[in-house]
Amino acid sequence: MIITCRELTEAATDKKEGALSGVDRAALRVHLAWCTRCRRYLEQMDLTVDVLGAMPSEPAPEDVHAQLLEKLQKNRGSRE
Amino acid sequence: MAEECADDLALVTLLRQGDRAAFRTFVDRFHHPMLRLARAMAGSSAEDVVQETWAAVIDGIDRFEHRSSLRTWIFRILTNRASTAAKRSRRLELAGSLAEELAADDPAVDPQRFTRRGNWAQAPASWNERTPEDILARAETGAEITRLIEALPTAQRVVVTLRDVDGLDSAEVCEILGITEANQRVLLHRGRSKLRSALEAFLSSEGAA
Repeated sequence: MIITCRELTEAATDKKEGALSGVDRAALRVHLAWCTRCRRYLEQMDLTVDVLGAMPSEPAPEDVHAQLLEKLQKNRGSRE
Repeated sequence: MAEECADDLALVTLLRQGDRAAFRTFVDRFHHPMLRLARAMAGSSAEDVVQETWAAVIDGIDRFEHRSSLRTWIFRILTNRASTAAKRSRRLELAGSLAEELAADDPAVDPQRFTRRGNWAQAPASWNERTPEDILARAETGAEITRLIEALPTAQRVVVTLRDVDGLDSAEVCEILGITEANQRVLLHRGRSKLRSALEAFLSSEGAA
């Protein structure tokens, strides 16, 4: 089974998600063995995902902490 | 110690006991991811959506039954509130955008970059930065990526945020959004492909698109 570069770019996520059939997985492997451009493409897709995963998170601002703690305590107060 | 509780069960127990350190950790863990998701779904209403969600979470924590993870439960409350906010502001909400996006033809790469036979005519450009750390260390890149994510169509933006930024797995995302695995994969694929293209333009000296 032959696969084109274009078809490979459309299969990138299915491959990463493990959603390809055995036949498609084999066809991709064959293509990647000779196609450096597609290897680079998949590396860039993987790197894109890694960059997204490395996006920093931030703690909540202090005023949010204060507001939420007040609500929590109000709730507990109305229960006691 | 509260800070080391990765376990939902232990955390919820502490929260019910009114443990303030646990509550603080809890808020820090979820606030920013909630804001990100709220922005992805409801744009300028994000702060209100997050505030409403926190209120519902605090009101409901004593009744939480661990039928799902804490995170799934919180994000589901949020998506409901975001949906309501989107309707209120007549903004195209997730379900509507999803149908539109899935119906559209949306190639991973500009078809002009391939020959008629489907081989690369204009190959992927080499990136100057090759690791996530180097890429994020470039000035403004974090802000640039946030902008790029915000530029995605709604359903793609939401799926990429939950899967790749927040690290949820496929099953959890499908549960939170009420979509099939197949649809989720299509949206993820399209969102990631657009971001790769945009990063290529941003990171390569050739500036290919």
